[in-house]
Amino acid sequence: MQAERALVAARGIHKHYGGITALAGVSLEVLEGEIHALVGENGAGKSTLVKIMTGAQKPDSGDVLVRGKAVSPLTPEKARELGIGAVYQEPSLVPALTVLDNVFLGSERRRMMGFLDQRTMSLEARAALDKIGAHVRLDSEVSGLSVADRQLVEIARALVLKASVLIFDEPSAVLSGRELARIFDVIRELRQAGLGILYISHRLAEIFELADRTTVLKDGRVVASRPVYGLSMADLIRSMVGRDIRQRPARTLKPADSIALEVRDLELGTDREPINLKLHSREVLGLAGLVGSGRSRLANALGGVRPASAGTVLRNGAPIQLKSPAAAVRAGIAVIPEDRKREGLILEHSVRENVGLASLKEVSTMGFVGVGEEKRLSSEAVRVFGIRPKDTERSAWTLSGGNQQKVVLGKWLIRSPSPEVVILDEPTRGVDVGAKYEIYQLIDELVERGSAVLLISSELPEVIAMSDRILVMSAGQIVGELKAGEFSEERILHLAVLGRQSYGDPGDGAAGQRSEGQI
Amino acid sequence: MSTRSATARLGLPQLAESSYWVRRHARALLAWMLFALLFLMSTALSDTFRSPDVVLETFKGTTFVGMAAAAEFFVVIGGGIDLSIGSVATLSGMAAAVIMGGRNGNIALAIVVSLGIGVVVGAINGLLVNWVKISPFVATFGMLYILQGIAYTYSANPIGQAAPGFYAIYVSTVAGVPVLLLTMGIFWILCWYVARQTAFGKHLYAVGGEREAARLAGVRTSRVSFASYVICSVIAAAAGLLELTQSYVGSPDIGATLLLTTITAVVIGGVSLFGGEGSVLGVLGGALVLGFLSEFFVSVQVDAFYQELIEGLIILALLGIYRQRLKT
Repeated sequence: MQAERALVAARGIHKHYGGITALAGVSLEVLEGEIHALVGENGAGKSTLVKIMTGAQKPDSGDVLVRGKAVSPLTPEKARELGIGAVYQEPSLVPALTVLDNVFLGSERRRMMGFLDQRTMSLEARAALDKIGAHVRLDSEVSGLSVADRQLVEIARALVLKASVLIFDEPSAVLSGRELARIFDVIRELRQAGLGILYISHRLAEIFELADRTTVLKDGRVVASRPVYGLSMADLIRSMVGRDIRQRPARTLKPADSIALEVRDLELGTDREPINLKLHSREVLGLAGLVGSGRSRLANALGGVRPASAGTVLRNGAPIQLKSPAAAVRAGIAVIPEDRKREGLILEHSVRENVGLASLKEVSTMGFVGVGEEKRLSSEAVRVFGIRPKDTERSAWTLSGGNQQKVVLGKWLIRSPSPEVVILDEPTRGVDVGAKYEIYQLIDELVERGSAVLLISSELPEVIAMSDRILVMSAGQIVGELKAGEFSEERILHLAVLGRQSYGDPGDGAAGQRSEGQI
Repeated sequence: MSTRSATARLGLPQLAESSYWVRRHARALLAWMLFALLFLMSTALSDTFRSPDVVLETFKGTTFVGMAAAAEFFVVIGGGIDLSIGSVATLSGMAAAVIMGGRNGNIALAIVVSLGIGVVVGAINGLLVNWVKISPFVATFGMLYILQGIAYTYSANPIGQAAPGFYAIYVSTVAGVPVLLLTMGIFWILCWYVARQTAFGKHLYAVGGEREAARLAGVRTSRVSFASYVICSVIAAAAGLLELTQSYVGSPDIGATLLLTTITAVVIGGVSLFGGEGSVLGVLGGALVLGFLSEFFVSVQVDAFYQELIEGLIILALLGIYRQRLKT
């Protein structure tokens, strides 16, 4: 390829975390004066690749080449010296330091005796900020800046370092509308100035707006790398989807007619349309959408973690108040959060104690926890859910991701009676393949016991394989519903990316609609 | 990019910027306002406090806690905590007193050994925290007991004697101004300079505020944190020497209550115990508040036992105010 012309290139990068393969032989290069978009679904390996190209993490094998020369090992300092700048999502600035301090953090200009050359630094920083049109004061603390201004400060930081490559890690995950448009303008100007830009995103509409070339990552592999000119949205979506999922027998059980949970006009934010949905008993309702589309916010509202500002929730037809997690549990709703390490488990405690926590009332007599009862319950969870190792006295942190997730699930599901409504937020994130299927079986088992399941997942094959019905969320709203038989990854992705307006046959000229694709 | 517009923008600090400065230093200013209030109340309520000598003596009385607070400041800003400062001061004072044995000729050696104790202890703390990865609380708590144990094993009673040329620092004056206060003035300016005007200082704030961000920016985070522990212990050892100019003998007990007073001063001064936030100016204000608070109680003849109660109330009130400010 054109590796010798590349400002920076990755060559055959492999990276594993535990049993999970994040990158499997990824190669990619960023040329002078081009905007190269790196796209892929969540978990495709984009962030890992960025971390490796900026020296924040080391690859298991493969090289990073700067102007054709392999640099190994690449450390963050080395990357900066070689002109690779990065604009991360937060936190990569120090909030308590000023704009000036942050711009020169790690590369302060010094005079004799450790004196800082404040004057030179101020001039350089001001020039860099002016160049990108950032009207922030040098002595403002970063904690008081908007997210867009923070990104501009990061760009200025790269400029004073004379970076020749700038990597943007999903700015659209934290910016929107005018602020994002402003960053786009800056990025185009930087391209004009001859910098190479690597722009990471999972929002396809942006690629057409901004990029010259795009590389699609899927499951840690490059599945496409081509110029954006002549590429259609449909092509791009087609290359992103189509992941294999092992065939598993479909549930024979059909959803009941009774409605276990109904949500009426639930307000999750001021500028968003209210949410309405019905969840039947013995149903798995898939909730698909991009990260930040409001799915977790909905889960938190239903779990009483962050109560909604207005609206009604009915359980079996009777209105309930969801003001706290305890209230949700009393109403028979269990939320299994995305961040299991922080919200789902007490890592230092044993499997037994974690399982017992959700059933403290049941295992305690007069306020004393019955260890024997806890043991019985946790042994049962270990047996039923196949938690390994089988030792219930192990601390939760010693377990693998998949087994930790099984403990979290187990703690709610082993309760008797088991919760009637279970909300699962990304239940298989960071879980190896084997454990994934066991978790799917658990979901089936839940349904067989009569629970209703709301399954939030960014993995399209998973939502499709598990759900009886799928709702798609975009920008805080439910933009579409797919019934069994209508499921396809392309349909879901179209709804998630383009919102309600474009819902229709996924094949027809999606590229033409990209102007509506503001998310 | 035009350099001209950039220079024009820089200009001189304008009046409007002063309000900005106030906002950034609100916590430190609050501590100083409290100090001013205490000072005024003391002079209003007590005749003795109007004598300049008494006021100077009170200032001198704040220097020991002040130095220890400055020591703690560096570690806390870097996101750590050092519980061993009191025992470092104790050991340093005892070592110096023993080495001096009342002889002027041994002063230099005594100072070198004392500060050397600071370097070694700080280096061990820094190693334990940054490379052995023991939590700062536990690592320095262990160090506190080890050092205090060494001190008591060596002598359970006051020991050694300061040399006359050494304790002269405490009593001598230059043009009416105590040498001690001049030294402290230089010391605090130096601390401010290191914290605010050097790359090390910026890195320290960055490591305490957002360690991962600092690492990504190319700051050598472990080294910076390590250095903060060494600086802390060296200043604590120097504080032990300072105390010796006043007590004449090396006592194994001087550090016992120092730790809590120090942390109180740091907190009153507006330093966040989570790291990355706070100023030298604030810490100095906090130390002065504590020093003058006890004088105030003496001057208005209130039982000293109330002092702890009042200190507690001040801390809670200030933290409540800081917290409110954070929300807005």
